Amino acid sequence: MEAAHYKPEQLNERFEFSGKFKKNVIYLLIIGVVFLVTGILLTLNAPAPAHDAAAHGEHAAHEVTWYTYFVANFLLANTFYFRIGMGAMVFLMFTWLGGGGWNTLIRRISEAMTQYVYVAFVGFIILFFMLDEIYEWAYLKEGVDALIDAKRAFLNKGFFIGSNLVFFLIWGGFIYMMRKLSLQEDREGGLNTYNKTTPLAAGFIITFAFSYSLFSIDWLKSLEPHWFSTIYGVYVFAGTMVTSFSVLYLLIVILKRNGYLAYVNDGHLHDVGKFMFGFSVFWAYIWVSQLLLIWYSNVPEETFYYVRRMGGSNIVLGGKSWFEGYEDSHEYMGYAFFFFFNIIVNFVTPFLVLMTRDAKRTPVIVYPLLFLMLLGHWNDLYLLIMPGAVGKYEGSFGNILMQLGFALTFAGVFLGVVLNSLSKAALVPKNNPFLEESLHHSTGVV
Amino acid sequence: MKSNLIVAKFWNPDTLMDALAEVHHKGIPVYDCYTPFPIHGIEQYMDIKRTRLTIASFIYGLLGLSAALLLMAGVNGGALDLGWDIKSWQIDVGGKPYLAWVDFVPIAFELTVLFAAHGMVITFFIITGYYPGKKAELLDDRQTDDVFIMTIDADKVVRHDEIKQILTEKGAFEVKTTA
Repeated sequence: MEAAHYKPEQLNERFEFSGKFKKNVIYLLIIGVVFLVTGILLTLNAPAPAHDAAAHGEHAAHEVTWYTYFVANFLLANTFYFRIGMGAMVFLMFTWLGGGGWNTLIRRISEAMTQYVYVAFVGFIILFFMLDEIYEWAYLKEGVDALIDAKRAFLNKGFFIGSNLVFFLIWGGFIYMMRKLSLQEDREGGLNTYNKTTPLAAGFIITFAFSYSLFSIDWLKSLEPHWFSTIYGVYVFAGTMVTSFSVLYLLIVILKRNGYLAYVNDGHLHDVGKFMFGFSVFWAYIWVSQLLLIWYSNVPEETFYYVRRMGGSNIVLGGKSWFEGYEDSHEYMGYAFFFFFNIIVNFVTPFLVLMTRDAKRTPVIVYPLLFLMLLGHWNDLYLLIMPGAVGKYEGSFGNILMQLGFALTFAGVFLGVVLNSLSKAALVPKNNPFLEESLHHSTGVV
Repeated sequence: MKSNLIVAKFWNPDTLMDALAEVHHKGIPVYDCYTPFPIHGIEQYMDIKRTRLTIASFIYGLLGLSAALLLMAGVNGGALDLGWDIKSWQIDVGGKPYLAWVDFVPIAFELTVLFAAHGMVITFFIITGYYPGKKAELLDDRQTDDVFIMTIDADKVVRHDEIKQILTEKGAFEVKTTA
């Protein structure tokens, strides 16, 4: 067997959230808030564009102001970091259910990531009070739009808030139980906690599959209540897993550079890299499936979604028929760049870079790439939210600054919460039955 | 399989691994090992080179991708004027343009996978000399059941008796040279 690169006493190490780490998190928060405030001030002073009636139908006299952008960006940032925490929980539960032991040594990092989900719940609860600003079904009165009225049984504030509170309770409960059992295992040992976690994992996976799909329909898809797509929940889930594994890889690399996790070897990094690669391909598969079916069937109720994101860039699809009858499609032209940037950054680049075995094991290669992928999936979420929430493209400097501010502020909060939770428990779950397997984990020498 | 081999048979994988480690430590090149099931970590003592099958697979994949694009652009769009009567093969689906990249995706994907998979299997068969229906070359009938075999190329080593001595000491129940 390969020689161990760590000292036995390192298995008892604890992460200390202090000094450099704390300073960097505070810097992130300060820079984020400065950008956020500057962005808001710049957008505040810009003349509010009269909202084009065509964008939301003739009846929508809804004015887009700085506050609309604020709420939309808030939703974007909150969902982005929420997905990272949720993805970590899914990863923990499906490896547990599959009897996977290799990730035992990095389990505590995933656990710490799940602890952010509680903070994201608070963000969503704040957003409950801002629904009127971006959701068409929330600000339109009954009797204005017959199609929305037909969906009122689902698209009303009572059901929206109620069902989401139920989801938060379920997910929060599962995460709380998982963490509690994991910490109990450290104190007690034995197989008792292990056996209790298995049904927990099964229950979580089943409820998650349904509730997460409904969650993504509620918060993201209902921004465009006239549109249909049956693959939407899977699409959001695929992005969730990519961002979550990217952040997991990032945290492992950061901790290793600071002298922690000496026992985590290239094999662990390799496997996390495989998941990043695999889910990137899965995401692209769902992306193209949705586009392909909507493009072929050519039903106006579905195609307008892509018209708003490609902005009438006809050449790429080779025909004009798609954009006939959409006089305002040129107003969405600004989104076209992000649309194609999306597929290049989230599929083509990781596919070619992460394909080889050596690349997945080399942090120097993955490190810049994962930042690119995080940017790419921020961009993906931007495309899911913005055309529905604020309508036509307004690429002002203030909006970009506001978005950057949100991204950095939330990154500060996220890292603060995750690193703080990481310091609360030992880095190695020393009583886990799979500990030995994980210590000897190897993906082969050749 | 080579004919001039030193063959050592073991009753269990642990003794095989022990003997392998010893042989590896002494710098004796191992020809191959035959075991009823894959043994984790065995490859580090066998000086196996990285497989280049993955590189071949990538090339076959690119070949498949180009074949698919060429096929579709040629047949569907008539983009390549090769003097064939290709316009008659064009299929109008719901008024969609003939040269649109969206409907190219599934076919490009399928042909990439098809070429890569078949190319890899065929390359593997050619390199290893296997083919369907080939008679199995067994050093011992029990090597598919409960016997673990290590072989050393007798032409590449000199002190045969000394090596046989080491193998016997390390727990081989039978050591012989195939003629």
